[in-house]
Amino acid sequence: MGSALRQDADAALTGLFTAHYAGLVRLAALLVRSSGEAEEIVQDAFVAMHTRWSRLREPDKAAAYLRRTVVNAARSAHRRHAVADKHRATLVDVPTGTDSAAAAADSRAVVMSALDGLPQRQREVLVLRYYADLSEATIADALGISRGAVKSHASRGLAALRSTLEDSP
Amino acid sequence: MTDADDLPTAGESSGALPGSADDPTARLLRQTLEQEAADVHPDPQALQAIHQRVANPDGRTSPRASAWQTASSLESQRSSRTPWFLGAAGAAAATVAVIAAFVVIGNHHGSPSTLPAVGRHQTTQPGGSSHSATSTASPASPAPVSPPLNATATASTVAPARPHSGVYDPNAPASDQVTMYYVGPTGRLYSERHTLSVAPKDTALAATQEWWTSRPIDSDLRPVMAGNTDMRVVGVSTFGQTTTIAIEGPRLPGPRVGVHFLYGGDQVGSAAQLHREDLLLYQALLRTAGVTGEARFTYNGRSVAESNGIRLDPLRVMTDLEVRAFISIDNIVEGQIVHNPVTVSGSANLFEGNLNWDLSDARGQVVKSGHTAAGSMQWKPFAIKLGKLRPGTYTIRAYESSPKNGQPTYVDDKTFTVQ
Repeated sequence: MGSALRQDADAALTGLFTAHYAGLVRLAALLVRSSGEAEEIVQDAFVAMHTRWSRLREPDKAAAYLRRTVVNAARSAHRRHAVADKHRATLVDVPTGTDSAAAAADSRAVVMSALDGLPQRQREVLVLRYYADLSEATIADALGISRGAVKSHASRGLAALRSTLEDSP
Repeated sequence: MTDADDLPTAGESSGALPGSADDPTARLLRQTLEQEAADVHPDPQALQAIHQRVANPDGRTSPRASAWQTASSLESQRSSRTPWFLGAAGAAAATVAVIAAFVVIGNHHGSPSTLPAVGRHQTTQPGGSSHSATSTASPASPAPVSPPLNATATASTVAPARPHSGVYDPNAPASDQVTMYYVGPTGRLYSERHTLSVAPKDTALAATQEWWTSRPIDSDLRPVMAGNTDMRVVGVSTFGQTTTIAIEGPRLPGPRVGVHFLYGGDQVGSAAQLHREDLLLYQALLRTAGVTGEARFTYNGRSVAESNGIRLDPLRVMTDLEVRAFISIDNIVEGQIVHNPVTVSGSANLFEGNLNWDLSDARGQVVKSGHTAAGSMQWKPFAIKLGKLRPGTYTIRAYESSPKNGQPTYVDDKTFTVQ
């Protein structure tokens, strides 16, 4: 990497970090269900973005690249730890009691458990839509699928989630 | 915010995807994900770790050396910076570019709505200022510093919308002094003392209001002022590690209409350079407001999620290593009148802690030079004892000799007059 390009990449790295790092870590944490692993995934993505800056050059392209890289890495990590994640889902410490805080924690655990039970693509689409607030087109770009597929995964995922939650006690 | 980051608000149009406004399951899912995400606390030191990794992919550099390398790589951006700061000298009638600034107003749940970008366009600042200094110099004491135009301090509790020039009066009591931060010619942040005519009740608010409306005394520093003359800073409050900066201004014509937020100097350069410059503007504001952790912004009572593609909900204070000037002369403001014996002091963080300096007279002839100790890997104070000087105007220049080619780097200079 040339000197000028390197300086440009360094500047972009700092700016993009401030703008997107925290949000991407939280997005990755929702996908892999591990804060530590989420940090590693996002830091890897920023290093990769810096390396590929000569082909990105623009913050908006770099932001899209970061999101794609994070989602892809989170998917790989989730596959590697599928068994552990599934086991973890059964070990969620659900507080008991009748007060509102316990009820809220209970509801949160149930929803996350139901989300964890969805097929990979449906889960990714729902997280990108309902946490990251991404549009259909941006989700399609992040996942490398068509907009029609995004719509289909979102609809089926939400329906499955609704069904699971209705069946839960 | 970019096209790729187009984030519609919950329930707004986003293709044909189900919204959450009218779907209880979607609403519950959104609420749950936000709660889960709120429990994730990203490492605030991660930027340094990433910079170390990109600077040293093999991981063989010691942390200490890597930290220096990080600083150097950040600072090296200066050499490729476009010279907006050179054009920032016109304090009286500067034609400035409106940053493509727009704010994104978040809803109460933190879901931002995106406002369309406002194109870059030109505006001319009103020239001159009607202010006048409130204190005068005595023969035995340093005189207040003001720009060539008659200038005065502002003292109102609510900042006037009209931009004005800063004033520094070294004779004023400490309670009247506030510290501004501006972006300097090295692309880093420099401090500058301004004097208010009345001691403020709320120092953080008064400093922020002064920053919002004033121009720096030193023409090397980049002027920053409110993008809209009807805007004003009305509150700076800190709770825990979070400081909220409240700004009021005209009502937006519609929920998706942007407003100009800040003016900066005339900027050209790559998108990455502009992004960093925009970021530095906000970092200067945060330091002036005394933010030590992170800041959030409100506009007319509503949270501001983003401006200039920079996330503001929240915006953390960047570290000294990322933004602070490596050399800063702090005890003399540009144009100040001083008396013998003269000592120039400040703080610096330099390679091997070696600070070089030279003193030039009004003709540009170097009359004295030398070097002194400063900090290495950390900022430490320095003092340059110039002794007794003949009456006249001088320029003190402090710098580091580049380890690469011996050229002066990280230069800070101040012109002063000895009476």
